[in-house]
Amino acid sequence: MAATLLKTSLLCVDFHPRNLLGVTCDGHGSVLITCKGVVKLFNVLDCRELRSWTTKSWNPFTAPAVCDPSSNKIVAVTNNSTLSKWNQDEDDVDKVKRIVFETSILQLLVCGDTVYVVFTSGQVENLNTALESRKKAKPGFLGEEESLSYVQIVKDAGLIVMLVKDKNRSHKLCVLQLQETVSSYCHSYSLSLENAHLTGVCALSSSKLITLWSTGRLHIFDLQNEHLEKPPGRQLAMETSIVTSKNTKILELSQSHIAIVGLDKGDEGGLLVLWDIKFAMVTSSRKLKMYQNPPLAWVSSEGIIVAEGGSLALIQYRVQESNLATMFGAKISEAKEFPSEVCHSWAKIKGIAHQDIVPKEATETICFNKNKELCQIIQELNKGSLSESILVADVVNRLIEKKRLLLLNETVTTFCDIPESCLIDVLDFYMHCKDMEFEGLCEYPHLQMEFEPMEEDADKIVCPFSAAKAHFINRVLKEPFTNAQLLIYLPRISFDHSLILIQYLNYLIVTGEAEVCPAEEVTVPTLYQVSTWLSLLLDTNYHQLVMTSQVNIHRLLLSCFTQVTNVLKFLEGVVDMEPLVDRIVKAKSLSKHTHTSAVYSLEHLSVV
Amino acid sequence: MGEFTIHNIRFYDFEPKAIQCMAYEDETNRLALSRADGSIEIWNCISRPFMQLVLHGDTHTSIEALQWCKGRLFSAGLNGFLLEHDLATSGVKSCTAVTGGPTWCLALSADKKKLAAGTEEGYVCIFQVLEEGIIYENSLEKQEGRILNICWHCSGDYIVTGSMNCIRVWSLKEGRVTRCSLGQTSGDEEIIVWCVGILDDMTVISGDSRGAICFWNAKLGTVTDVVQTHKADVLCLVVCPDQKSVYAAGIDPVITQVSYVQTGSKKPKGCWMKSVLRSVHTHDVRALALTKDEALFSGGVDTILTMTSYPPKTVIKFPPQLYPGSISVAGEAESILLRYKEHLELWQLGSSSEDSSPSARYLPISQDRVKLLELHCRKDEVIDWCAMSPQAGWIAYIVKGNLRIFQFYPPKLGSHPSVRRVRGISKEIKNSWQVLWLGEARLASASTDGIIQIIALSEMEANLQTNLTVKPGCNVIQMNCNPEGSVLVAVDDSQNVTAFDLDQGTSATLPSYTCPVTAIGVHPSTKDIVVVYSDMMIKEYCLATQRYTPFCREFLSTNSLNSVKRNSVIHNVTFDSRNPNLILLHDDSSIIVLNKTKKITDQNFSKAAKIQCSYSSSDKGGISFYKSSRVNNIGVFSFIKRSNQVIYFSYVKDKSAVSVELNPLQLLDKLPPALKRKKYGGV
Repeated sequence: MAATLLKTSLLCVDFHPRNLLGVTCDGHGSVLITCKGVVKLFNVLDCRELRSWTTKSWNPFTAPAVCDPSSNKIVAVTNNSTLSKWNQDEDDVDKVKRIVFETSILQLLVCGDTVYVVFTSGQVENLNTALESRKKAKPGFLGEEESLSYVQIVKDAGLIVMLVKDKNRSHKLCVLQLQETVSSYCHSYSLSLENAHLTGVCALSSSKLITLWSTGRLHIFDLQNEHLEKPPGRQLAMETSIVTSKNTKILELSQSHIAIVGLDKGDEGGLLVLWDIKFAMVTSSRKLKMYQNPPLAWVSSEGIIVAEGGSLALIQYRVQESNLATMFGAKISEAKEFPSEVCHSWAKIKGIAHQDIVPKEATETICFNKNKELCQIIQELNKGSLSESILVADVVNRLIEKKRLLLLNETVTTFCDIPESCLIDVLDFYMHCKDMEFEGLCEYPHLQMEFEPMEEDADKIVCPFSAAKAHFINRVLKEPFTNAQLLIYLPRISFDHSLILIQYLNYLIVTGEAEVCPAEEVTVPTLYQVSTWLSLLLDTNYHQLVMTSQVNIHRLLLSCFTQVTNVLKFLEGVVDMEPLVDRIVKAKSLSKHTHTSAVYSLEHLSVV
Repeated sequence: MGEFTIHNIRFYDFEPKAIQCMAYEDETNRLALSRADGSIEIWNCISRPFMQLVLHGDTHTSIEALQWCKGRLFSAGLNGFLLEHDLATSGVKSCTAVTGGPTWCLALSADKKKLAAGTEEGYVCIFQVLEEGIIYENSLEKQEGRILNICWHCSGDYIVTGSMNCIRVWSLKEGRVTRCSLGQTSGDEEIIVWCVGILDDMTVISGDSRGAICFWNAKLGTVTDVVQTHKADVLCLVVCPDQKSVYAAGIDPVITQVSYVQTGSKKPKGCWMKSVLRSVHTHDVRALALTKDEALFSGGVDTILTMTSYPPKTVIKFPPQLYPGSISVAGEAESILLRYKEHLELWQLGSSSEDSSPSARYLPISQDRVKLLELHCRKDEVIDWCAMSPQAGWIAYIVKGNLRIFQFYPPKLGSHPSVRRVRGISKEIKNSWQVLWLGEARLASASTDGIIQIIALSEMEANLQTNLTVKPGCNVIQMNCNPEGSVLVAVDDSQNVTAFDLDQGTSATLPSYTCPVTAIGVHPSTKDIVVVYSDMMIKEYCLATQRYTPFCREFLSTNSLNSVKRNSVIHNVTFDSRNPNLILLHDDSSIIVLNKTKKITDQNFSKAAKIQCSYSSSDKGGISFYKSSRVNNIGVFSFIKRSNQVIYFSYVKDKSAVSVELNPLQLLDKLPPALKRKKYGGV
C-alpha cells in the first residue's frame, strides 16, 4: 500500500502560532510544545496535556525545549543565552537554577542520548561540555553578517548539516563533523540555483539533502558522495501543488518519504504533501486551514504535528516501502507464466527467502482467489496492466452481456475496487431478471418472506424478491461506495425498479434483517448500508415520489418514515446509555443523578 | 431511622411565565411582581424573601405597571384600566378607566398623593390617591406616540416620559412641555426610549433601544453624558436612593451600574461612568426594583427573581414558585391532583414490587402511574385553587371565587372513573379563595371576607356547618389541618396563627412572632402545631397544653435552620404518620427531615458537619449494591439535596412520600432564545 496520510486529530488549542517556538519529541510517545511563555508536555496518543511549565514574561523561552534522554530532564533556553534544566515533577521553572552562557544559543538538538547545544556563532557542543565551558565565548565559524537558518544532525553519517544565510540572502551549506564534545567545522558549499531562491530544506537520515526551490524544483544531494555532484544535486521532481515561492517546511517521514508543508496553490490555506522520493511522486496530500510563514510543522513518532489555525493538529501517516504495485494503486494483472515475478519488490535483502520479501499485495493479483472461468474472461479481455476498477467495468459488461448471474455475483464478491457505475449496472440487471433465474444457482440463507408488524392496523410487510434474488441483491448492497458517485448513476434504475428496491430496503429494516453490527458471515447489508441506499434512492426519485397520487407509494413512504423514526428513537436511547456504559468500562462510580430526568420514578430514601 | 419511597414527579407541566414588571415598597418590605400571564405575586421580604400571596390574573390581559402607595397596590395594563388590588381578599378593590386606552406605565408622586399613567395614545393621566379610592384629576396635553415610561420629580412639579425618539419633560405648574430629541441613528430607524428616571437636580436619565444610558439636562433639553452600557435595548433602569448610581438592564441581560464620579484633581468634574456589572440572568431583564438597603431585585424572561447586592457580592436567585393550591395529595388513596390553568389532572401514583429492603436507589416500577381523571372547567375560566379529600372521594376547585365541588368515583372492575358535581351549594356559602378538605365530606373554605366556613357535604348538596373567625379585621392567608380534619390551623395577614379544635369547638391563638409564617402543619397523632417562619425559625405548639412543646422550648428556640445558610424558605410541613418524632420539611432544593430524637449538643450543631452518608447496603447474590446520595446531617436536621427544584413535597401513606420536581434545564428549553453574545472560543 502506498504511503498515505491518515486521520487528523486535535492536539492542543490554547496558544497563539506567533508564540509557538517548536515541538520536540521526548522519545516516550510524548512531545514538548514550547511557546514563548510556556512549555507543555503532551501525550500524543491520547492528546492529553501531562504537564506544563510557565515562565515569567521577562524571561521568555527562545528555543524549543528538549528532553535530555540521559537524565530525563527538560532542557530549555531562555533569554537566548540562559539554559535551564529541570525535572518533570518540577512545579516552578523560575526557581530552577539558570546557567548563563557568554554566547547566544540558537537551539538544542537531541541525537541518541546526547543533547547538543547550537550556538549562534555556529559552534555545536555537547550539553555537558557546553555547561563546563559556559563562561567561555564560543567563537564558531560564522562571519559577522552570517546567520544559521537550518541545523540538522545526520546521526548515521556523523554529520551536522547547517544552512548559513548571509546579508545578501544567499545560502551556504556547511557540514560539520559530529564530535562527542565540540563539533568541528568540515567544509562548506555554496547552495544556489539560477533564477531561483531556496524555500525549503531537509537533511535526511540517509545523508541526503532535499532542497526545494522557488521555481518548484525539488533537488536531492548526496552528502556522502559530494564529489560526484555539486549542490543542490540532481533534480528529483517538480512540486506543482504548493506555491514554492513562499517558505516551505520539509519533514523526513522515512528514508523514502518526505512531507512538504506550504501554501496551497489552488486555495488560500496550507497544504501538506506526502512525497515518495524513490518514485518521485506525490502519494497523498491534505489541505490545512491556514498557511503560516514559515510553516509550523514538525514530525513525531505518532504523526505530523502542524499548526492548524489557532491549534496544533496531529496528522497520522503510514509509510511503507513502495513498489510498483503499491504505487500505481491497482493490482497488476496476471502474467501468464510467473504470476508474481513481475511485481517483486526490488529491495532485496540478503539471507531472507525470496518469497518473504515479496509484498503481500503483490502476490494478490487480479486472478487471485477467483473462479477459473472468471480468470479466463479477464485473460480474454487482454487489457494488460490495468487498475482493478477499469478492469472490473469491462468484466461486468461482458458478464451482463452473457447473462452470467453467478459469475456476476462472484465478481462483486471477489473484486475489491468496483466502480459505482458497475454496482448500479449489476443491480439494474438483477432487477430485470426474474426470480426464477436466480433459483438453484448457489446456496443462500433462509429469509422470512412475510412479516406481521406489532401494530394493530399496520399492513403486512412482504419481501418483493425471492430469497435467492434477495441474496444476490444483498451482495451488491453490501459493497462499499461513495454517495456522491452513486447518486450520478442511480437514475439508471427506473422508477418502478427504484420503488421495488425501496420496498425491499424497508422490508430489511422492518424485519430486522439489516442489523447494526452483523456477524462477518451475514450476507445481508448492515443497517447503515440499507439506510444509505434508501436515502439515496429517495433522493434520486424525490420528485416522482412527491408528485405521485398512488396510495400504495404513500403507504410505503409512511412505513419507511415510521421505521426510520423507530430506529432514531432506538439510537437516541443508545446514545443516552453511552455515558452509563462509559462509566462502567472505566469502573467509575455511577452518577448520583441517574434517573433524575425520568418523568416519573420511585426512589428509595433512607435517612439515618 | 426513616425509610421512604419517594414518588419523583416530573411530569407536572409547571410552566412559569416571564416577569413583566416589579414594584417594591420599603415601608412594608413587600415586592410586587407581575408575570406574563397577568398574575401578580406579592413577596414578603422582611426576613428571607418568599412569595406570600398570589393575585391570579386574567388570561386576556397583561400587567404592564405596578405601583405601591402606602401599602396599597395599583396596577395598570393593556386593558386600559387602573386597578387597585385588595390584598386581603385577593380581588380588585377599584377599577378606573384611563384616558388613552392601554396603559404602559405608572408613577407615584413623591408625596404619594398622585398617580400618573402613560398611555398608548400619548396621554398622561393624573389621578388623586385618596383613602376611599382614586379619582381622576386631569390629563396632560396629548402628545404624539405612546408613552412607554414615566417618572415623577421629587418636587412633584415635573413629570418625565419616554417615547419614540424623544423624552418629554412636563412642567405641571407652567403647563409646558420640553422635548428632548434623540435624533435618528441611520435611515428611518427609530430610537425607543424604554425607561426614564429623574434626579433631584433635574438630571433626566434615559435608557433606549441603542443600549445606551443618556443623561440630560432637563432645563436645557441637552445631553450631558452618554454611556453605552449594553449591546441591545435597555428596558429598565432604577436610580439609587443616594442619586449617585443607576442600575440598568434589558435585552442584554447584564445589569450594569452607572455611577457618578468626580474626575480631575484641580478642577473636579463630574461624569457618569460604567461601573459594576452583574451577569445574573440568561435572558432579557424586564424589571428592576431597588430597596433602601440597595438590594436590587431583577427579573425578566428567564422567570427567575434575583436579588443582588454589592458589596459584599451577594446573588440570591429565587426560582419561580408553585402557586398555592396547585397540588393536592390524597394520602389514603395515594393519588395526586394537579392544577393546570383550565383543567385538573388526577393521577394514581405507581408502586414498586421491591421488598421492604430494596437494594437500589431507584426502584423498578411494577405498576406505573395512571391518569384517573382530567376535569376541565368552562371555557375562558381559569382555575385558581384545587383540593382533594384524603381518600380522593371529593374534589373541589375555585374559579374566580366560585367554589365547585365534585364527588369522584374511582374506577372499579368493569367501570371507568367518573365524577358528579354537587350542584346544591347553599346560598350561605360565600365566595372563597382557598379551600381545604377536613377529612372526607367536610370542607374548610376561606371566604374573601375573612371568615372560615366549614361546609358539610352529602351526595347532592353542600351546606354550611359553621363559621369560624380569626382575629377581627384579618384575612386568612394560609390553612392546614391534620388528616382526620379535627384540628384546623390558619394564618392571617397579620401573621397570627389560630388553631381551631373542631371536635371540641375551641380555638387558641399561638404566641406572636416577628417574622411572617411560611409554612404550617398539624401533627396527625399528637396534634401538635408546627409553624415555620421566614427567618427559618421552627416552633412546635401543643394544642392540649396551649404551650410550646418542651422540645421547642429546649431546643428549637435556640437552634433553628437559620444557622444553616440557606436562601430558600420552608414551603411545606408534613409528617411521617409512622414516626411522631419526624417532621418533614422542604425548600427549593432540599427535603429536610427534623428528627426530634437526635441527641445533639450545641457544638455539633453550630459546626454543621457535613457527613457523607451512604444509603443502606445489602448483598444480593454476592453483589453489593450501594445507593449514592448525599444526606447532610446537621444537628437534628437531615438535608437531602435534590438535583432538581422541589416545588412540592408531601408525605403520602405508610413509607411513601411524593416530591414534585422541576428540572431547571427543561424550563430553560421552553424559554425564547437569548441575546446572542460572541464568546471567546465559543460558537
